[in-house]
This record gives sequence, C-alpha cells and structure tokens, in this order.
Amino acid sequence: MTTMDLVGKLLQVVVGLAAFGAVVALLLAFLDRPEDKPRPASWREAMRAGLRPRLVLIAAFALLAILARVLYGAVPWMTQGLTNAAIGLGVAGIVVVLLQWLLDRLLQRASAPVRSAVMRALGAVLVVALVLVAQASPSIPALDWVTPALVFAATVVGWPLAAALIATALIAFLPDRTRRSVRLIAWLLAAVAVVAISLVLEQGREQAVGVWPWAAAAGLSIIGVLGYFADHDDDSKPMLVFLMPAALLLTVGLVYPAIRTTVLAFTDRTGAFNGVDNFVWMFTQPEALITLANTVVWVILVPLLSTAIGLAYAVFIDKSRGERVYKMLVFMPMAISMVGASIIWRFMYAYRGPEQEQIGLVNQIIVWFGGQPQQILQNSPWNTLALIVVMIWIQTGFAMVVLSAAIKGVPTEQLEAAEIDGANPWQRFANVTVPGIRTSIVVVITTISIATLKVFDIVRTMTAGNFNTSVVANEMYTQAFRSGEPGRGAALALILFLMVMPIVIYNVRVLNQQKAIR
Amino acid sequence: MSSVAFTPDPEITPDRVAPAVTTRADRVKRRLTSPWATIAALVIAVLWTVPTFGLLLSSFRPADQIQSTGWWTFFSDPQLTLTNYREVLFSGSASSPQLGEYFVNSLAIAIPGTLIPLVLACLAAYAFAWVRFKGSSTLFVIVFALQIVPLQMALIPLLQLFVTFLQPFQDALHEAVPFISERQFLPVWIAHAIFGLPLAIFLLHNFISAIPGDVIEAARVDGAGHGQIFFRIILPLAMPAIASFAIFQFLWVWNDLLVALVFSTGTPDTAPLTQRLAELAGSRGENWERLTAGAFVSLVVPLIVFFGLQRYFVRGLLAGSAKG
Repeated sequence: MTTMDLVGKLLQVVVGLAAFGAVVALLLAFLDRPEDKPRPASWREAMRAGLRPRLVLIAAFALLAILARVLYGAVPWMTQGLTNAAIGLGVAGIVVVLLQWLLDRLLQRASAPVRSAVMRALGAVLVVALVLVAQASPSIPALDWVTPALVFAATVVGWPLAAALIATALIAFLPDRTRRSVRLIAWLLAAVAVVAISLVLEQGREQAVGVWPWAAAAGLSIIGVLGYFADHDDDSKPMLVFLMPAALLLTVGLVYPAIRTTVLAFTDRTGAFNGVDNFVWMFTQPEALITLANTVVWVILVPLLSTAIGLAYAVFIDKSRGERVYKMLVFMPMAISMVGASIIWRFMYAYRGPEQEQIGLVNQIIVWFGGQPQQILQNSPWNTLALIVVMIWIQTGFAMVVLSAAIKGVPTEQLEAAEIDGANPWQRFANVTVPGIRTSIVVVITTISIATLKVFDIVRTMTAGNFNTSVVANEMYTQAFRSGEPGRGAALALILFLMVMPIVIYNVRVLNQQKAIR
Repeated sequence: MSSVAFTPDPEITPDRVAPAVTTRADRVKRRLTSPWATIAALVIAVLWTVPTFGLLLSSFRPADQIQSTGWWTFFSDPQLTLTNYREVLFSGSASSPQLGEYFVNSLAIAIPGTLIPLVLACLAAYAFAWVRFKGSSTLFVIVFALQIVPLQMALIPLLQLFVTFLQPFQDALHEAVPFISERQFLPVWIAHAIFGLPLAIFLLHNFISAIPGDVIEAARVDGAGHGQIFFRIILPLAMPAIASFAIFQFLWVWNDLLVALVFSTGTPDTAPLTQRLAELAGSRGENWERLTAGAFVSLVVPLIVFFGLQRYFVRGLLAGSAKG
C-alpha cells in the first residue's frame, strides 16, 4: 500500500462524510424559522442577522479556490482542468451566497407567493446562465474542463428545469386550492420534456445520451411529488425534510429491488421470460434439492438448540456469583464476525492423517477416545451438522442474554408460591418460569430462525457450499454472481423471502397480542 | 430483524430492583442452584470459550509448531512469537495477506456505513414519532415491513443500479483526482445505509416516541420549530438508543461479508478484512499461521467495541435483536 493509496482512501471518507453532512444541513435549512421571530428593524440589522454562517460559507469557497491555485503546479495530480473547476466552483459559490443574502433581506417584508416567485425566477435565470456558459465553454480557455457530454447534459436538463421553475413561480399566485395539483403537473411536464428532448437530440446528433436524462426526469418528478405533499399543511413540511432521504434510499434500495428480483425470478440467463423454469429447476435438480433440504435442517436445529442451551445456561447462572463473567464468555461469539467464527471452527475441525499428530481439537478428542481422525468438513451429511454447530455457537449468546433478562422479570412471589405448594425446582421451572417468559422465547426463536435462513458467511467461508453443504442464501450468491444465472439466484431469493415472511408475520402478531395485554 | 419493544437493560434492572427483594431472592436462589447446575454452566462456558482461546493462542505460536502440533501442547512446550502478526499485517511480499491495507478498508467502510444510516434514521424516526401528517402510520408500517425483505433479494438490482448511475460519477472522480481509485467505497456505504435503515428507524422510533409529549409540547409553545426540537430535545434524550444502535450497526458492517462481496470489487482498493479472510480461508485453507493471526486481527476491533461498550450493545440487542 502506498501512501497515496492511503491518502486517496482517507480523502474518500472525508469527502463522502462532508458531502453527506452538507446534504443533511441543506435539507434542514429548508425548515421553517419560527414565524413570530422579531423582524429586524433596520437594513443594517437585517444584514447582520445571517452574517456568521454566510461568512463561513464564503470563506470556505474562497479557501477552495485559493487552495486549488496554490496546489496547481505544486503537486502532480492537480491538473489544469481540476484547478479551473475548483476556482470556478469557488467563485460561483461566493456569488450565489451573496445573492441569496441580498434577496433574503430584500424580500423580508414581501408576501409568501411573491417571495417564492422571485426566488424561483432567479433560480431559473441562474440555470439559464449556466446552460449558456456551458454552451459557450469550448471558446473559453478557463472552462476547458467542461466536456461535450457535460454541455449536452446541461442543455437537456437545464431548459426544462428553468421552464418548470418559471411555471411554478407563476403558479404561486394561483388560489390555494388549485395551486398544488397545477404545480405538480408543471414538474411532471418538465420531467417528460427532459426525456423527450434528449430522445429527439439523440436521433439528430447520434450522441449517446445514456441514463442521465432519465435520472434527471426521475429527480424532477420526485421534486414535484414531494412538493405536492409538502404543500398539504404547515406540519407536513418538516415531515418532508426529515423523511425524504430515508424514503428515497429505501425506495431505491429495497422496494424497487424487491420488485425487480421478483420479476427476474421468472427469466432465464439471457433475460427472456421463461415462466416457472427456475422453480422447476430448484425442485427437481438433486443439488438444488439438497440445498433446500439443508436449509430446512438448519432452520430446525439452530433455533431449537441455541434457544435450549441459552435458556438452560441462563437458568443455571441466574443469580450466581460471577454472573456477568459467565454471560460475557458465552455472549462473546456474537461480537465475532461469522467469517472469524468460521476460521475459528475450521481450526477446531482441522484434519491431519492418522499417522500424524492432530492439530484440530475435535479430531484430537476423537483420537484420544481411540477413533480415526475424520475429514469433518467433507463427510456428507455430517459436515452440515459441523457447520450448524458454528451457528449455534454464535446464536446461543443472543438467546441467553434475552432469556436471562426475561427470567429476571418473572415475579419472585409466583416462584415462592409454587415452592410453598411443594413444587420441585424442575416443576417450578416448567410451570412458572417458562410460561412467564413465553413471549421472549418466541421472539428469540423467530429471530434466530430468520438469521439462520439468511446464513451465508459460514457456509461460504467453511466449505463454499461444496460437499453437499450449500444452503439457499449461499446458493443464491453462487448462482447469481458466480454461475451467471441471475434468474435462478433471484428465484432462490424469492424462496428465501417466502420462507422468512410467515415467521415475521407470526412474530408481529405475537407482539401485537402482547401490546394488547399491556 | 424482527423486534421487541424496548426492554430494560438486563445489567441495570436487577441492580435497581435488588435492594427491595434481596432476602426473598436469596431464599429462592438457594433452592434453585444446585452444584450440578454450576458444573453444567461451567462446562458450557468452557465449551464456548475454548475455540476462541485456541485460535488466540495459536496465532502467537511459531508457524512450524502450528502446523505440526495442537495448540494444547503449548502448556508443555511454551513458545510464543509475534512473527505471524508481522507477516499478515505488514509484509510487502505479494504472497502475504497484507491485511494492514484491508484493515484500513474495513475502517473506511464501517465508519461512514454507521454514521449515514444513523443520521437518516434519526431524522425519519423523529418525523414518524412527532410530526403529524396524513399517512404517517401507514408509511411506518411499510418501513417496518421492509425488514422482511432479505438483503439477498436486493443485491442484483441494486448492483445494476449502481453500475448504471454511480459508476460514471466514480469514473469522473477518478479522472479528476487520479490517486482516488476508480473503485470506491461509495456503493458499499450506500448499500449498508439502505440495509441498516429499516431496523434503525424502527428502533429509534420506539425510543423517540416514548419521550414524554409534554416536553415537546412545552418546547413548541415556547416557539421552537421542528429543527430546534430535534436538535435540542430529541437528540440528547435519545442518546442511549442512538449509541446502542451505532454500536450494533458498526459491528454489523464490520463483520459483514455478503454486502462486501457484492458491492466492493474484491481488490485491495475497497475490499474489507472479512472478504480477504474468506478468500484466504478458501485458497490457503491449511496456512494456519496466517489464518489464525489474520482472524484475530479481524476480531480485535469488534471485541474492543464489544467489551468496552457491552452495556449499550446488549441494550440494542434486546431492543431489536438481529437484523434484516
């Protein structure tokens, strides 16, 4: 690793976090200031109000430009284009901050529609100016970093964006009732325009447009739809700000992919629709059947055994001396990655020929008891059990901690009453403690079941799914990313989804009942 | 993944109730614990600790000894060395694991991978809990239901999206600043943020909605806006829940293999420790002196986090158990 690599990585983290912070800060800046804040009396006072944050921003932009100029020529990676881009950005940033400052004060006493209209109109002017500058860039030496593709994108997106801004500025003067829907239509029209213009231009120019117009169109529609909801009432605006990033990420990252995977499950490797072939493959091919069978074995054994051991352990150590230390020892595997755990256990299972000394503890114990050392991870079907042991080793700590907390919640009076009635310890445990912690047991079992259904790392690291040990989650990865069969991978993911769903639904119902009882 | 309402910390509860019921509890305790139970507990504790201990001990043994004798022979023939660690972390030779670089990657992935979902989830949880808007509860149920989607289901389409929309950005960044590789952490961060969000929103919502409404009403009467309420009241009060989720998410991201395999490129540019270790375990499964030291390098950070912040971690677990 060279120092430059390290700097590059550090820079990624810093820039990434800074950009993220800037986006969040920008969103929060949209929040209303309280209306009853006293209005500044004089012009000078008004200018002073937002002084500090703006000075900081101006200083930051100036620093960016100056830094770029200083670094230019001093370090090899600071190209001329990059320097120009940084200086351009710095100057533009300062101008925008100053303009916004001025406007904010000028419009202090204006009514809301006027303020919004002026802001939007100026935004439109800015966008148009940017587009014009971009188009003129080939003849301006300082703008040599603007590539033709960038000019093209600016043109295609810029005009509809400016149109939408002006249209919505005018719409701001419409009566309240019609304003919302008309504004929404304006944004959606702009989105359609971006796509239409880009498609027309693509025909005429033979220049590939790529995905950008579509992305811009999606962005414009999202602005429109969100604005539509935000206009609803005063309390909705913060909702928009607080919720938007999460909603956006979840839609793009979970909702859309889930739908897409479902569709993908019915296609073959070329992407053509092939009906239920993938599912037929899954339920007929011997390897795929073994995978399914293994998953069932996993999902039965792991939750039951780890919950049972965890519960027993929690009872044994309850109120004993050194309970914390006992807990920590068994809980520790939870903090270890499954990859780490797999290596630990591969080491436990390590095999040496019968004539050599064993280095794996398990085989050594077998030898001590007079047996032959075994290739534990290769002898099917026992190897699946060897993998299951690892998962139990990890999950027992979780079960133990949750159940231990639940046991402490069982009222002492009930235990005493049972004792007075002559119940022995086992009867007290079975008839008082267990019913008392039933909901916790359900939660633990369901949680471990779901974790087990998705188990991937252990199988991947220990056997990579060879020797008949594969499970659905691992097979899904293998099919989709190793064998080039995304359809089959998606079908397996869908099966996983179907297997997880009833467990979660059951869990939610139990929780609801619990809430109802409370 | 699925979840429970916020349960009190087991480490705290007994202490709090203890004084009132000490004598009674003692009497019951005497009857419940038998020597057999203690022995059984000891056996389980030893069984659960021995594998990790064996690995730790082996990682300090000389390479030829690891290969030829079991780690338990250490007690009759104690020899320790740090060579294995020097080899896996800093050796520049092409055949060595060079884990130092991957360690940096793991950190570079885990820190933003924790902060980003945490901030977004705090915002969203506040909106769900304290901003009244139409469809709030429906939306919240949808977010909760998203936990059902196994992340395996999201991998393929999300990867396609990233290749289409993020790659051009990344290439542009690489061209502008050549020492930033064209393979960057951005996709991995976004993926972790997405997969962490449903659980984070759910947990933090549970906690934030339990903050007394009077406090927030009072602030509102005094003229505080949503921004002020969020920063001045919600964030400080929700700190315990935020801390517990942060630890939880950090460990999850640090320990993750699947997301790393799919969204990082597998090169030293972005691949985290777990991916490199899985690779080593596959290609050099018998190279134990490297695997043991390497595995322990990857365990150090989670174990420090775990032992240092155990109280919060357990609380987070009790609040929401595993993740989706």
